[in-house]
Amino acid sequence: MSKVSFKPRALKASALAAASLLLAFMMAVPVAFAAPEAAFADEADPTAQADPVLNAGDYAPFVIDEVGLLKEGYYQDFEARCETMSQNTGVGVYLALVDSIGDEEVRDYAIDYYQSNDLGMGDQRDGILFLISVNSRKYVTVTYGAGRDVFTDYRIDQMEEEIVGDLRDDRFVKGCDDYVTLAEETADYYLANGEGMSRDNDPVAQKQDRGIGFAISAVAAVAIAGGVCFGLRKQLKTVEVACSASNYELPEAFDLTDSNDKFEGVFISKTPKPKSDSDSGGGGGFGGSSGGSF
Amino acid sequence: MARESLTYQCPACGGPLHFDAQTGVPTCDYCDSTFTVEQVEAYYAEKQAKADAAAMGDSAGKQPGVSAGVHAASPVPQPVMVADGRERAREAQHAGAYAQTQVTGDDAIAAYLQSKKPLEEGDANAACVVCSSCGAALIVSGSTAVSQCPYCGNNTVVPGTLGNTLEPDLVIPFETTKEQAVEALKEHYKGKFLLPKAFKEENHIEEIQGVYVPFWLFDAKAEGSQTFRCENHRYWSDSDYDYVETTKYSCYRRGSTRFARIPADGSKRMPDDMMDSIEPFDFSKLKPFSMGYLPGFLAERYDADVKYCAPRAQLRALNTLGSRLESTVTGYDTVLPDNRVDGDVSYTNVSYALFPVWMLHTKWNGGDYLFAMNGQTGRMVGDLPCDNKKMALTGLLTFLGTAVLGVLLTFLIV
Repeated sequence: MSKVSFKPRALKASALAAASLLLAFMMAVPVAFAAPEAAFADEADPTAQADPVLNAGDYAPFVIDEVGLLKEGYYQDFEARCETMSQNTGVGVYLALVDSIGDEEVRDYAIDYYQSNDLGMGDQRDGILFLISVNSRKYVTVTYGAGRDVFTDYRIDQMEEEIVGDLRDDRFVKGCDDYVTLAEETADYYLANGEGMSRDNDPVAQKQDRGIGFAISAVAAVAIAGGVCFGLRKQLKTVEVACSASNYELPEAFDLTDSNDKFEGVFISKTPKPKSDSDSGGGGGFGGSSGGSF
Repeated sequence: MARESLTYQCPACGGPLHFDAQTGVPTCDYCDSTFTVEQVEAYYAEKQAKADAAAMGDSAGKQPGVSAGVHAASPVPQPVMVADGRERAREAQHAGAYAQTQVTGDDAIAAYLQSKKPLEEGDANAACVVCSSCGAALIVSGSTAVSQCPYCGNNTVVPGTLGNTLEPDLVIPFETTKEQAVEALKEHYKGKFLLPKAFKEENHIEEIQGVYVPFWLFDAKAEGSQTFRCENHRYWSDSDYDYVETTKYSCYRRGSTRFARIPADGSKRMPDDMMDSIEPFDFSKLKPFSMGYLPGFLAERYDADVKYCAPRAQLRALNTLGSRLESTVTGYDTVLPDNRVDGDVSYTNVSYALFPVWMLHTKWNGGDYLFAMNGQTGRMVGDLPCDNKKMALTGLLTFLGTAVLGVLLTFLIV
């Protein structure tokens, strides 16, 4: 058997052939992956249109700092995180720090701000905006469209409760960080469960409700036990002072000699009705909080 | 040691007489003969007159109206009534409760006191014995052996003096017997879950005694005024708020009312709340007083005079007037008194009466317990001791059961 030896010319040709094969393979792979989608689409529903994948970058910036409170590093960090959330949920997550809003209602200002700055993603302008008026010391959260599904009013109340303490202490950067962090948790919950957080599915609230239930049970048990003992003990006491002499009043002896009813005034009090988070849900209109002062 | 008092003797056979609560007349223990109170009084009045006439010619040393075998009611120094803690507490409570009240109508009271004559030794065979322990002064008559003080249970009584004890005007005779009182007391114990079993067994229920308790009865007129804070409320809502409209008024009322025979017991020893609790008595059964109703029973001599007792009647009268005034304030959602009744009470008549009470004093486990039954209507009162261990166990078991149920419900609902 003769020994085969590779000559340089043959080696070069083999290399070229291998490279060609590799290039062809690299070009074929995208086609191979793309083709099935087109095929599923045709097979699934001929009338269905594939949802356009939104590019969050088209709706940036998500952080607007009109008062210059956020240093470069924080600004970029918050911007990147908001963009990620927006990309994942399809809902624009916005944070705005503005100067003074004068005497205007903060919620009205925020809605106007949202609309005039064309915030929100997609045709429906879905989004959430947390606005802080630094010099007016007011804050509010507004949601629109699908933003109301992801960030329910129930969840927004919880978020604001955690954030407002930082704002009161003038720790604005910390407050912004809290907002972004809490928004991330909320977005993650939505993506994992397919629904926004409400009282019915909030595990923390459930734990609290159980705790309240146990406390009520203990108090009720004490009250009932005390009532039973009191009732049994009362059986033993039959002696009491007589305060009245009605048994000894002569019939028809009472004579009313003077009476005078004087009007003193009318007083009106009002209590705000609690909001229900059942208002949140798909569809138009702004949701969110009524805001507050810090 | 028991001391026998003077006896009413049967005019027919000479046996001892006692007042029978069921028949309402004095009855002989031996021959069962019955007499009316008036008959017995007339019989003994005649005997007394003869005895007094005979005594006029006697040497000094014999006292009229004293039958043989009984120590004469020689003047005995009134025992020093060392006020125990309960007595001091009652006095302080009385002073505090009535500090703001003033007794008006003193003319009626003064006129009454002036018109009254004191009960005298030998007067219809009345005599006085005094408890050597608590100082209770008891008027006795008839075949009554005072074996035990009805207030403190002490077995030793000594002769006392009637002093200036007024003769009662009225009396309500006993209508219930000792047997009925014993049954009522047994019934009083029934159904009391926390009553210690040993108390029922160790109670000397047969030592229940019939006592006529002294009462002052006041006819009075109460007149006064009171102001009330009144409100009406209206509620409505809109989409954002719940509204409450409160309209406020100040209502003034003035009026008067009259009372007949408001009772106030004339015994400092007898707890006021106990006597209040056995009310009411049926005043249609009130009779003019006669010693003929006393045989077989004790009668306590009053130690709280009419002026001491009047503020209690006044307070009750004013409270009733306040209730009547409040009842005229109508048409409002809430009515609250703005102040106490501003008024006074004037007395138009006062009388001194004896009311029948079956009483039992018992000691148990270091505590004193007094039971009283209305000798006319049968109403029984008296605070009973509590088995604290049983109560604690009951409370604990109820707590645990309710708590477990509550936890299970929490898990089911949340």
